[in-house]
Amino acid sequence: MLAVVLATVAPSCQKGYLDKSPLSGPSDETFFANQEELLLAVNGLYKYAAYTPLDGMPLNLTIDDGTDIGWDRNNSALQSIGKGNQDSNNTYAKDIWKEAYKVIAKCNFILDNLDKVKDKTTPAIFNRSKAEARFIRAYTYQYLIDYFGGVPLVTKMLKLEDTQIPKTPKAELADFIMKELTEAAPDLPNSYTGADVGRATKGAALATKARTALNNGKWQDAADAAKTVMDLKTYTLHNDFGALFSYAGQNSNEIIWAFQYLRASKTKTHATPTALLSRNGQGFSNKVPSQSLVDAYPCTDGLNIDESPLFDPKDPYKNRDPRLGFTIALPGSIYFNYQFETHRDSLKCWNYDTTPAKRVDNQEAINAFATFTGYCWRKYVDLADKPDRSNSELNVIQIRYAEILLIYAEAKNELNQLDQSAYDAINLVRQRPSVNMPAIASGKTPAEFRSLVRKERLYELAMEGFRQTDLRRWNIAEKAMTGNFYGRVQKGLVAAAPQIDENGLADYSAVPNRADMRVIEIRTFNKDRDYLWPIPNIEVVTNTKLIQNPNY
Amino acid sequence: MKFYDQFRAELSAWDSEQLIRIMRLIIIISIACLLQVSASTRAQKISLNEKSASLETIIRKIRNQTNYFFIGDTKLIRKANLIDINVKDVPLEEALNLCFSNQSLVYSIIDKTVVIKKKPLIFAPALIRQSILIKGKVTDENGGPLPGASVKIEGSAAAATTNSNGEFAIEVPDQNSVLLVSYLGYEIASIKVGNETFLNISLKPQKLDLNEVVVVGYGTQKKVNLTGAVSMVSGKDLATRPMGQTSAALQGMAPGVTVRQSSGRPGSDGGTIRIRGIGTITDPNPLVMIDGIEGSINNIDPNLIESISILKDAASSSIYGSRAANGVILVTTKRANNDQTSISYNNYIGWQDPTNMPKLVNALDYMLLINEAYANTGRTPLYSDALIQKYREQNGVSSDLYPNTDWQKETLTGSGLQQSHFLTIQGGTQKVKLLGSFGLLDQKGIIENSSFKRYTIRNNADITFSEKLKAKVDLQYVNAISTEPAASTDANIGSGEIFQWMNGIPANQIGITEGGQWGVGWNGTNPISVSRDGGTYRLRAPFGSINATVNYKPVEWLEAEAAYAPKYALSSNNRFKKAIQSYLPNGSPSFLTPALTSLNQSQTQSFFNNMRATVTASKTFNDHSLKFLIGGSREDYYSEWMSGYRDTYILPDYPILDGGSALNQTAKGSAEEWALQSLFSRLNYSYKGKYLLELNARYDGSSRFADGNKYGFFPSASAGWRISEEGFFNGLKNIINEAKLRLSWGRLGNQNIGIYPSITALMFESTALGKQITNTATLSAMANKNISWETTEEKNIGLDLTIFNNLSITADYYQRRTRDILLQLDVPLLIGLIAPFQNAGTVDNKGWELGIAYKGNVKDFNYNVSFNLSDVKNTIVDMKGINQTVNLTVNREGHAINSLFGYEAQGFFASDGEAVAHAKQFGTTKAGDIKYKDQNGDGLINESDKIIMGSTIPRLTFASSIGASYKGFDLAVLLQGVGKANGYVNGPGVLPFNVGGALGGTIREENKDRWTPENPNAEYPRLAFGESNNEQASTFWLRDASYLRIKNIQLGYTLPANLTKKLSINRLRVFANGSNVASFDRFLSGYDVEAPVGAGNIYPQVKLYSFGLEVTF
Repeated sequence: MLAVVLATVAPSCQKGYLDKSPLSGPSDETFFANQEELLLAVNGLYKYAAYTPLDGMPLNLTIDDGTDIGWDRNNSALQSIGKGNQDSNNTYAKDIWKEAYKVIAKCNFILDNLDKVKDKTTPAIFNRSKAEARFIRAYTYQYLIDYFGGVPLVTKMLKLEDTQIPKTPKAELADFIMKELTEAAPDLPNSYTGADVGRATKGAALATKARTALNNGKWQDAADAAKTVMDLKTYTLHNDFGALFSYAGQNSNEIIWAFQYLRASKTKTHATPTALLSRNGQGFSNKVPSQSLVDAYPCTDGLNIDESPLFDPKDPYKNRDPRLGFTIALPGSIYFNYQFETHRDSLKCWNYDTTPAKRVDNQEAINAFATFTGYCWRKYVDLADKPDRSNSELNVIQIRYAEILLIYAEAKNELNQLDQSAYDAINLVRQRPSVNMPAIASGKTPAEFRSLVRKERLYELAMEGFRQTDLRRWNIAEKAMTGNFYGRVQKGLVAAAPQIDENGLADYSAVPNRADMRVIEIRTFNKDRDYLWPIPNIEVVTNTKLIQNPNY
Repeated sequence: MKFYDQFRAELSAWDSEQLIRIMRLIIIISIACLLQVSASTRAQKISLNEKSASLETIIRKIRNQTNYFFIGDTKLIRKANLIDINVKDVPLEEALNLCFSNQSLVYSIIDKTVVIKKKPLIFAPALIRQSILIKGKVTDENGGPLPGASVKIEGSAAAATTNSNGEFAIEVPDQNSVLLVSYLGYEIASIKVGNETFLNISLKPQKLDLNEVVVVGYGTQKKVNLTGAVSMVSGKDLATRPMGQTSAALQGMAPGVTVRQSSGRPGSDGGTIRIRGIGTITDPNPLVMIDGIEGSINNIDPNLIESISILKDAASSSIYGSRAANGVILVTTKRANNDQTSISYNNYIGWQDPTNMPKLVNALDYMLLINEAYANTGRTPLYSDALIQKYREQNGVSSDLYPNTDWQKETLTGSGLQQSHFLTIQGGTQKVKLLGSFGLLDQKGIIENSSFKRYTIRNNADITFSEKLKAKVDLQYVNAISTEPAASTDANIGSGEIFQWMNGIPANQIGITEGGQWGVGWNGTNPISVSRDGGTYRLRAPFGSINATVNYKPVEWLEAEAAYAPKYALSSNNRFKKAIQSYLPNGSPSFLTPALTSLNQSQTQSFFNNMRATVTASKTFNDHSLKFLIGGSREDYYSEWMSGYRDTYILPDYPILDGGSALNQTAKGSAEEWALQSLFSRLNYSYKGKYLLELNARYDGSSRFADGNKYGFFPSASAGWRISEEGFFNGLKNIINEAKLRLSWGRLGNQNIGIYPSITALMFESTALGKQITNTATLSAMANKNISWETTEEKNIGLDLTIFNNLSITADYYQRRTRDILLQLDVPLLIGLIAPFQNAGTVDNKGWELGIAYKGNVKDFNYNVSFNLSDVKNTIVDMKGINQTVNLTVNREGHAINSLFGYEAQGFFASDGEAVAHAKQFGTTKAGDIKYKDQNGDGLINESDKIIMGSTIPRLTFASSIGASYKGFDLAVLLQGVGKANGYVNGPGVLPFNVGGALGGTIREENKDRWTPENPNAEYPRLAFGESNNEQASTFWLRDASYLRIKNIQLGYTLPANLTKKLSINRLRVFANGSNVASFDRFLSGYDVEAPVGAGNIYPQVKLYSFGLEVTF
């Protein structure tokens, strides 16, 4: 008995008894033992770069709904940003900050430890992995500085005691991003095949550099980087603009970098269709385009609707830039196999899901929570997602060639180098076969061209996540985001075209029946504050060297 | 293992016949375990507990217990009267006197031989003439007969025992004779015979038992010798209330033990137990030891429990070292106590109702109010006047065109049947004693597909090999099965989500169409269809354990004990979520929610090993009494889990993995393990029974910490002074029977901070690249290799008093400080990793406790009243200067843990002008919006203007239990309450038009009292759609959460014994019970005052009305 007691009691007789290591995965100390582990870690970057700050949708598909062109019906932090009443606890801003720094830390973890496996890795894989991590880190900083301005620059894994870091000025960060991308680009291939599709390419690095340069007013860098991408000859515009945002366009040569999704085994999906779809299409219509965006699109003659003879207020969607219909589900069109009609007296509509088509109750007219504006987004809504609208595997484009062409055109103009190459770039975008808008003739003043290229970005890129930054870069946010946010006239049409300004912003003050337009919310924009988002309050509290953006 | 197989099969379809088969199985197995047991013991003290036993049997029993021989005429002995006797450790002669009192036989002892002879017929004539035959009946406090009670004549050897009806007959010399009636556990009654010839003698339960023993860590201690703060709760008190979970049954039972029950969800209706406040932030749950084995307080049927000891101060709990920082609860299960054979059965059946439900507006009101809110914020109204007119014309009725759905009525079933059955069989011999229990708890929820079933089998066996060697073998199998609608994938919310929807969806949405199809509800979310037809989440959590103990006592003063207790637990989850097709009124299909029917099945297996050994030496030298315990233990745990997922069930009637499509199937799994090894020791010293000293120490090694930090040392010391034993106290002794002063100090640890807190592992996951599955490895948390134990130091001073034998008072004051609290302090998000634990915090808990109990009687009316009251002040002393912000509940230096944090509301703006002139608030503020105080006067209301609004830790918790009995009737009432607490319901729970965080939800009737220019003194602010100003956390929404609740009332009646005897029933009691009968509080209407801080999306607490019976054969 005593022997049993002693054997149990004696703690030293079996030293290993208390040595337990995690059984679930390797520890951070022993990791990076071989090439396989390096690849696993780099693959993880792609998983986490594609986070979803709202409603299961990636960042770039949500953020335009906090601008003049869209609205989030949910009582969300993004809605607050749109309305101009965000505070320093705004969770949309906070989640983007938090998730972005998580991605950055994962990149830093690889970059700090990469050399451990240098001699166990083929040079090509080693160099590519390093460049991939640098690309994703730079890409992440790129949008962080768009929204927050200067942020702390973290390039190493941090210890708890090293976390009091002040802001690095935005311009310095832009230089850092561009330098990183310049250095990463040579080690990245032009393209991939098979299970590597979706990794960072040379084009993606250079395109991100061009975007960073443009957003930070470094016109020469922007033009140069864009030109380098154009000269790669890897990318061409997709002929069918509408199909580009559907499963049919997933492998297009226009796509420079896209988040990758796969439904099989619940690997990675996003919920975009549910949020965007109409009520008949069994979506929630909680992210919707504005009346002003609809009115911003020109007629097929290239003129704004308040100038064009082709515009008929009684048939307002006729003779319009085709991208209007490709971007937005318009009343009268077919959307997800239903006749889409949001006039409140259209109590019945056609359901083309069945053969022959059936007349059914029109939820867009009956349901109180049918789209408030009368329109829905069409990009990224593909009938193929019908079996599971909350789990789409449609890849989400982050960078595409049209953006590069427009960066080039805008930068050349800002550089005062408005040559034929700039006209060619913008016309290439306008004249892809499915769009076919009239070419812009040369001889424009810089101001005229500026107006054209800004509007072109709106027509081409609406809902893809550029508007937030564009409005701020152009200093027109306080005009675009103040006052009534309008939806359609619920039982009728806007009686006359609103005035469209040089940036494509609509002014309804002269519209005779503007009192019948649905006021969805009343917005304010404090130009002394809202050009930058608030730094999450928790960050200012925990990092005493970090100074909150003004007036939050 | 055959046993388990058979058992499982039995459980699937239980009925009474199978119950009997199971019981038979238990007994067979137990006996099989113990068959070879045989040895004889020699002792001079006799214990007997017999009913209607023959003298022959008695002789055999006495021979087994002594080395005496018996001589006598067998014929005579066989003719002797049957004997009822119940004695424990009495001298042989006393036992024999009782046995022969009613006989025509006499005995005499010669050397070690008992000689039995016929009683001589000749008595002294004087004696014959004067003696009186007295008959009588001895009963307990409820009037039940006490068979085997001893009746003696004062100053004489003559004695008698009562028969099975409690009746006795004895001859006394004269009318001045005094009878002394005694029975174990009751006070001795002395009755002067007087003129009566038939005496009804009712015994009172013993009030003050100096020998009352309290279970303490690794042993027992006489209550009078306790030096620490220990509260005792008897199993009897717990089992009288029809509570499914023992944790909830503990509410109000002991001072300093705060139990909060926030939900009535079947299977999750336990309470959170906090002993003396909250000492840590990560896991403030106390350690629960069931017969020495770490376990969960909720896996044990209250009927199994003999007693619960709650070790409150550091001195009494430090022997549990690194796990004791939040207090220790020791559960002792019932064992067979006598060689008595009995079967007892008790049950109850009852009905549940929610205690509170919010009242919601009808469709018409909803539409008018939301339009008002739209208009107030400059928006185009949501509903047209024409539509509203249609609703007016429809006048409250519901139709497909103009629905007016009562979501609560449609979703709640209106009844939740709850029943419990518990059977105990005990029997055995002096050498082998068995107690077998079988329990079934079956609890239906107040919504469809919500239930909890628990099957309990426990068999406790005591084996005596010899006076020196004893063993205990306990077997336990519990299977708890909880079922609820597969609503939320978040197990913490579970069916709470259904309550959120039934309280959130506006009445103008359709629940069920006129055609009888599921309506669309809220975007396809429909609590009616989800609860009735949405599939179920079923958790089966069976576990089996063996607790084997060998006890060896080679010499009187030395005792060694070794125990091995393996436990195997399985947790099997089955979430089958059915896609529900909702329909539009015209019958065309609308949302299919969720899009795919899916099954997520997971299993966790855990293996728990527990070995321990102790050696105890105790010795008394003259006035010095010493007891020394040393022991060691090892515990290790290994757990592994796996889960599988499939979706697209074409045939939803086959909810198994194979029934789904393989396309999206997933498999996941991982494992974890930990180990703890410890040395512990205790020294008790007492001088003259007056001065008491106790020292404890524990040395714990835990696998959770990195090398260098693995071991921790936890000492304690306590002392007691029994003032009442001092000479100078003699004069007071009749008034104050017992007075003891206690002082203690000790140090405790906490290691409950995750299994590998000092190591960070990368996570294996997968993602998509090139439309293929790609494996990934990710670092997501930050490690801190330097972390070590949390330590708690506690000082306690206490006083125990017993006054007039029936009033006892216990009072304690304590100060406890926890240092190096492992906290995940807010770290800058730019680290990009989940914050590591740091030894960063210091928290103080200071408090006092008072317990008063009184027992008394007026003739046959017995009553007892007990009252307890305690208070604790919790303060965070240090958090490394990092003040938490943002959240509604925060941890901040100088305030209690989880304090409520928000703006100070200053009423409503009286005019738009006032709103504009005030510091800038949130969004567009107008008259009727809540005004917040600009604490720092910077003209901007932001985070830095927030204040600590209140604390979520209840203070001044109290309870009172009142018991009374008269003849066969008994009444028990438990009142329980909190004197000071804050509650806070936010989000959809209280804000208008807010369902699940999105816009457009319904509004409570109460919120109609809103600010309008005509109603400036309203209860609630103006309706403002999509404006966040009034939704900010502020004192406006803070509520007083103090309460007094009639927690339980029970009225019972024990049928007269002479009636039940005819049915061969020893005791039969019937009772009616009400739980959570009424509550007096000032909380938000529609919510239970104990509801947790949050959006009110919880399954509400319930009332239960039940009836039951207890029967012993």
